[in-house]
Amino acid sequence: MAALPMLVLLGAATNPPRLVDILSTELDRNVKILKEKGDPPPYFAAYEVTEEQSEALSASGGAVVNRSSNNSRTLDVTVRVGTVQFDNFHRNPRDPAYFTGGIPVSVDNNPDAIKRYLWEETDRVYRASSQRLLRLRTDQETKAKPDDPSGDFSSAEPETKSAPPAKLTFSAATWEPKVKAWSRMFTLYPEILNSRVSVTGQRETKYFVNTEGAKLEFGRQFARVSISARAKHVDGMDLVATETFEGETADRLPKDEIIKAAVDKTASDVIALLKAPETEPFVGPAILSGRASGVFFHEIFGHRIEGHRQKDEGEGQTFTKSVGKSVLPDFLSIVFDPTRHRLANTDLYGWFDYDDEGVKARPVTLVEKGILKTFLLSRSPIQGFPASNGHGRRQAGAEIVSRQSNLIVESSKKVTIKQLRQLLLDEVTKQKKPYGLYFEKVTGGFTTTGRQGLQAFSVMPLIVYRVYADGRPDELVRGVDIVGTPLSSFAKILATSDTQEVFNGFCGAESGSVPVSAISPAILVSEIEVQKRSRSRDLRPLLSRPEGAVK
Amino acid sequence: MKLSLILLTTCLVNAQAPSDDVVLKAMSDELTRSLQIRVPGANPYPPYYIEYGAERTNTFNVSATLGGLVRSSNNQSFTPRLFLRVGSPKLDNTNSVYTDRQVAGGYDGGQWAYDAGYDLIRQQYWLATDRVYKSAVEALNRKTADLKDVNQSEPLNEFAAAKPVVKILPEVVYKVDESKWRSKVVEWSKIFLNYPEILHSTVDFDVVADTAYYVNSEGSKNRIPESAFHLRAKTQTQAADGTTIWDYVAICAEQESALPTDAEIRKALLEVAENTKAMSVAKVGEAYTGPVLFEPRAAAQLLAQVFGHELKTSRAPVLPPGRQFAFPQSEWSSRIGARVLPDFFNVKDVPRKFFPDGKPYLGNYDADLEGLEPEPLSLIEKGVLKTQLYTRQPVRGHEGSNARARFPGEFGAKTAFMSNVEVRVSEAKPLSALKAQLIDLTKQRGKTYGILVRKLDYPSAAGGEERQRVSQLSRSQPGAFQFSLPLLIYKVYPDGREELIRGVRFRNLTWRSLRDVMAASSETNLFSYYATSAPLSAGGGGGYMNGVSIEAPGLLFDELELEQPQSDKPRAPVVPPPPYETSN
Repeated sequence: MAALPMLVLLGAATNPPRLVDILSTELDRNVKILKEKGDPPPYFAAYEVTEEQSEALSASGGAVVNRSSNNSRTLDVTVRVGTVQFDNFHRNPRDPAYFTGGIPVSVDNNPDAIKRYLWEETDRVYRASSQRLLRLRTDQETKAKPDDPSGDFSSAEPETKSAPPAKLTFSAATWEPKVKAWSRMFTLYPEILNSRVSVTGQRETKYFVNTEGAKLEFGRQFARVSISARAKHVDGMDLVATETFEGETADRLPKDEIIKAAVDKTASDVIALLKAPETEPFVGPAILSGRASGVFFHEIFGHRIEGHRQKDEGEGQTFTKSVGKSVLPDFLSIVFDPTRHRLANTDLYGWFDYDDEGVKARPVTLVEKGILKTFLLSRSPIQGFPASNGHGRRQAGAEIVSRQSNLIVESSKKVTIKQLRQLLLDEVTKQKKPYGLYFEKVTGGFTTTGRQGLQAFSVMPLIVYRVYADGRPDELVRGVDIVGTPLSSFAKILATSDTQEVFNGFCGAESGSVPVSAISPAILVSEIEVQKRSRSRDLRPLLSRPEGAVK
Repeated sequence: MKLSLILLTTCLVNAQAPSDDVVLKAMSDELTRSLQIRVPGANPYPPYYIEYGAERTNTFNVSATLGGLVRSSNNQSFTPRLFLRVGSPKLDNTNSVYTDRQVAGGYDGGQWAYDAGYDLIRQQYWLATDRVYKSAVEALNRKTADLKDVNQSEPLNEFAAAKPVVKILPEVVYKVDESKWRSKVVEWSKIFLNYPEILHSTVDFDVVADTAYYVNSEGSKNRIPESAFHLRAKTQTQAADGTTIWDYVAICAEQESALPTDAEIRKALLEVAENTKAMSVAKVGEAYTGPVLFEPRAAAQLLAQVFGHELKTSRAPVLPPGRQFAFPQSEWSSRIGARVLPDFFNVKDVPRKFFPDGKPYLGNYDADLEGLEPEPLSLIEKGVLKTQLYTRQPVRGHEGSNARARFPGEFGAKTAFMSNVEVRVSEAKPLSALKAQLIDLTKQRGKTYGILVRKLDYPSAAGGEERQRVSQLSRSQPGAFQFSLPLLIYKVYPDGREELIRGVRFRNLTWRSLRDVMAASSETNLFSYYATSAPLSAGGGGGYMNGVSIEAPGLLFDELELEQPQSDKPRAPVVPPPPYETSN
């Protein structure tokens, strides 16, 4: 809703109160009384309101499928009872800490309405927090002590800043003719059964106060174009190709000609996949493009160095004891930098000014020349790392844990992409393999970090080529899944290209979906394992496309 | 406020389809082609029946609290409905636990284009038909396998014959002054600023403007406009003992012009606020057995629940041998011709009904989900059940629709529901006389008070605990019937004094209790609401809702039971609520 009228209770001559002031007043009032009369009394509390304004449009076959606008605020309340050493957020895999309700609150700064929501939700969260603390204390008496004796909450400097993002100027209506026209381009390809072109503009503002004196108003904008097309192979395999463009604001999105070319490329990729042979299970050398490598590092490394996993007894804790030790080849370093907005001319998705605990964002070197230095930390301390490094993140409505931001892989063993390809061919010859693989594009991945079950990851490639050593042209294959276990995968990285690429996306985990980026050069690995992707066996549509249907 | 909804005027009935209706033409053309779909191989499984439906909808909603706008959104959608039958009306893919299982496709999945043209609509139906057809063939094969070793206790046909209906009405044009409604809802929500004892209040307003399209392979072709204007206000607070107290009002209309005036709406919201305030300080009631008087609104709410449950029919699906499946069943299905109400009751269902000023009743509909045109039905005559509400699904003892398929259903069937129910009594007394009779009965039985019910929580606005209780019960005992809680319930003392009580619910209340109604009032209440398929018609039920009205007199019951449920109450918040900075 771009032009909601201002609905203000106070007289026209009075400025509406700022939301952070309303939050701050009600936080003080609630906590003061709870400290006097509550049993147990809270030792810390915070309010965070996430305000989202967005417009979105998607089209298929030249027609609008969805046209939506949104203006909403979501409240998350945190109350901590107990002590910093042992509080209601103490990790217990059998009883996850989940208190916030992510409730909607008034979108205008109406103090009466907002204070009621704050009060009601504080009461609910306080009750739930007190109950869990009691359960934890009982549990503590009957269970063995955890490996990590560190406390539950670390200290942090209270930050104050008022820097709301610029007004959302994105208008879906102005994009509509273009989006419809781009979506119509797919109708030239009768083999494509389903396609979509979408555009979104979004402004996210966060308002944060806590009992330590933090008072923040900050945020950012997002703009995104996404293109997808799907088809079905005669053997039943579902095939998909996608392309996305992200910009901090809509005017940072690529020019129309580039988006149009991406639509053509997406269509031609699907058509090419329809003609491509299905992959065979394979173990051998491969190059992962910069974007594919970014996902590879995000899944197999990034999720395993999130701080809370190091003290959660249910986690696999792959790297918990590896600080100061070599975890990657010595020519690789990994930095998480949420202060970085761009790589060359490409906007990044994983940046923020403050995390969801009000801690100022900062670059963190996780791996330096192959040696693990630290973890991604929220205000939940872990042994040896008592303070946050500004990576406590969440989607509105979820509890905060440590999460990734802009993952940046840096290499000191760089060659041109042409040389990297030659190194791949050399490796193919050396290993006496018929071909190596080139992973050009991936759609995402997932990983399992829990102690129960296999410590594994999967990356879902979209465009993969066989690269032959005998000079034959590269051959597109379909139905490929990369599989593996994390530690063995790192040892096999031989070299990287000299150009970094960006993968922007949304990462889903315990604290919801958060925007992230993964930046990496292309990497050459001596060995990667691929398997056949499970696939549908449904027939293609039994009737032909309706005559006169979209074309 | 202008809203260009040209609705349901009789002169438009049976108008011919405008040849330029792209949606209907695309649906018809693709349906005709889809009849040729076949599985490759020796047994081609041609479809013997296909229906395509669609709802093209504009939705606007706004929500406010205490003068603060919480949410405002608008949305456009095109929701398809497809059904296809393979086999024959004697044995087809329906009425099996496998019927609704989708085994193929996905290319038509997700949202359909709202403003698709002819070609794209056909393409979407083409892909969806392929998915539905493949699923239907698999369901028929599985069902045939399940039946191989089973002697069916009562073989029934799968699908009743019906005459095709062509009914083309003007499509809805959405034109809502959203800004005006946002302001109004925000203003109305300020009413509760004057009631600091109410801890939580919300005012919600929805507009749904929908054109329903329908074609089937028998020649039916409908285009029906359907609109809803739905205002809801809910309050909640906590009594001193911790009990959660709530009240609500729902105002429903098919046309904007049928909504009450601003002053009437304010009055209704004030009444909710006053009720909540009164209930929060009312005494807790005790267990009770004795006479109970339902005033007309509460009686209409009670009867709406009984009729909604007992008038619809259902049929057990074919199951794999050895598997059990519990499904809700109406007890009235085996009672056609038997007395279900006192003999002075007559009940009709009238799907097309208008007020003297031409405004429609909320339960009006022009065609059901099977494309059939409903006629008035006499349901109960002199207390005897004459018929139930039927769809095209044959059920035990009956085959043939009376065009009451109003909700989507399971296993290839639709669910029947009532429209505008008229409850008439041949013997009636003024409400004041019923109250006097209640007092007389109380005295005769040596009781210190009788009970009067003025309002039930129906459709239920209950939150948390109560809602959980009802949904758990409906899951564990499908078909077990739960009546909603009384909201406004009073002790009536011999001197006529009324005392509001709280915290009681009916015990052992069933449709059978209605046979013990002693008297009815000459005053009636027209109770209109949006029904859903969720327990107590609360929100949910897949988001599908139908307007219903029921006009009923007050009812005096010889004997009903009340109980005070045992449950722990939450403690009051440690922190008192924040004081308001403004007042209305």
